[in-house]
Amino acid sequence: MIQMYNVNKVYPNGVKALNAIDIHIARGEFVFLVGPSGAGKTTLMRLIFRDELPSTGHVIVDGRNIERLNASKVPYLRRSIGVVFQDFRLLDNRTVFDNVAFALRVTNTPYDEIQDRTNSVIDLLGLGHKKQFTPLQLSGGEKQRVCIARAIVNNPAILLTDEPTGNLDPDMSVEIMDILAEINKRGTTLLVATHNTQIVNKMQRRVIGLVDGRVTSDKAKGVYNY
Amino acid sequence: MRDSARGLSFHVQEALDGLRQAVVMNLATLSTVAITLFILGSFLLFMRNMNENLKLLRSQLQLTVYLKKEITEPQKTELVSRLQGDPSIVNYRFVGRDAALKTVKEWMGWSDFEVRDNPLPDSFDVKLHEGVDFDAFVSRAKSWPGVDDLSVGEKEVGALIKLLDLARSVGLVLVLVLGTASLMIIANTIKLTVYARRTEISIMKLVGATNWFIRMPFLIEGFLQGLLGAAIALALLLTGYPVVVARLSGIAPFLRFVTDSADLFRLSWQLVLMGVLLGLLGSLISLRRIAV
Ligand SMILES: Nc1ncnc2c1ncn2[C@@H]1O[C@H](COP(=O)(O)OP(=O)(O)O)[C@@H](O)[C@H]1O
Ligand SMILES: [Mg+2]
Repeated sequence: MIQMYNVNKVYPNGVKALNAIDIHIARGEFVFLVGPSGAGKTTLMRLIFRDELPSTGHVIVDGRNIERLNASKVPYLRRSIGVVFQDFRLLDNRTVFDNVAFALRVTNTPYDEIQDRTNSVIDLLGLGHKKQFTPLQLSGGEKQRVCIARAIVNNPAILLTDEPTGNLDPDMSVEIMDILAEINKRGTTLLVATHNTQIVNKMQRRVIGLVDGRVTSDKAKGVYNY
Repeated sequence: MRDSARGLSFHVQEALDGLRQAVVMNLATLSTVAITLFILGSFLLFMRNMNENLKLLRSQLQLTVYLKKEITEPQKTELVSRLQGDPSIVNYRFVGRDAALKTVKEWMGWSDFEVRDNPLPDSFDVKLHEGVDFDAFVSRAKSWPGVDDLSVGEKEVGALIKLLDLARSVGLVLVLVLGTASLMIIANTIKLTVYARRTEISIMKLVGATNWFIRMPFLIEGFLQGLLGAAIALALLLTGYPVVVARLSGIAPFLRFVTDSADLFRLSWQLVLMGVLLGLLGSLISLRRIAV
């Protein structure tokens, strides 16, 4: 589903964020990306949804070579990828429903389909009773669930979550992780960048360790280690 | 049908929100656009009117050959045969001094005045073929018997044409400068809206909205600014113009004015087109940087 071949990323300011990365992630996999702050986890994810381009090397997502992807095709690539950030990026002046429906509204989805899919995803994430709330009236865990709902509402093949539990207390973190595991079970390829040792160790999934832009470990059923 | 209508309403709603969010800025933009288009419209009207009057003058391109007061009958007969035989002349017409005075009085709008001693001589109105050597004809005609002087209308027309050319250049520069200013102001207003909506825009990009979808509300915003500006300018022009025409007709009754509704209609939609173009162009300038 995601292949990286000898990928290097140097930002315009000269920072070398990724160094000779070779990663292959199969369809339906659940992968943790661990490593110290500044290791390049976020950069790696940004390459996948073509927020950035590799300086050298190739990134192939669902059979599409992202460096060669025509600019007009980029939005369609992004529709097949859900992205969740640590800092939520919700629209505070819109309700939970509108925040989730937003992803469908701006991609020309038919009206009835918007209603159906938004409602069912909100229910899936246990937010049915808070549909008309605005993000300012929600807890951190609820906000993160709204972000996840928005990211999966158009059934993406890939879900990228960048430190989804970074701002949450332990209970809420477990809750969010359970939701992500459930989404992965339904067939979505899942990549989770995290600092949460406990959760990584408990989940027993593939763990890729990243330090200074290099892959330092890559183990199936791994533990938090880099 | 229903879905595309919903899609459109999303964009229109966003655009209206954009307009509302920066009311003061938008009022400033709107008045700049309106002033620009008002001046452009005034300029177009002025030029249309001047051209109309120029055309009128040209169609009346004729010389007046003034006769000496002491002209004799044989001289007059001789002169008529010269006029008859000259290849430069299309036609000629005798104008008695009383008739000449009447014409002048009408032309100047002085019909009420009583003129005791008519200073005007008898004359011939002579219409020349287009393109004849004007000066050659004048010097030839001056040597004809009984001819006192010739009016040289063509030179005045030439001066008028030069004046019009000047007015056109000045107007063009003015419109260009104001147009550029409007463009920049529209672009800046929309840049502010873009800035205010950077979170929305970043999320739209993230979830795979196309560039044109993201740009659409801002284009609509620019379009509305242009349209509204044009509407204001037009309202001012179409109410002000008849007043100005009425005034000028009183002062200078010899001038002709364009009051044909077809003409004014064409001007109206020229202005609307310019406004909309300004608006769209302004937003496109500020949207260059919104790209994947
Ligand atoms: N937009 C950027 N421009 C320049 N340097 C950046 C940018 N984003 C990240 N970096 C740098 O790249 C390196 C990797 O950052 P990042 O991918 O955010 O790491 P992580 O997510 O693992 O903390 C860091 O040194 C960071 O300062
Ligand atoms: Mg990061």
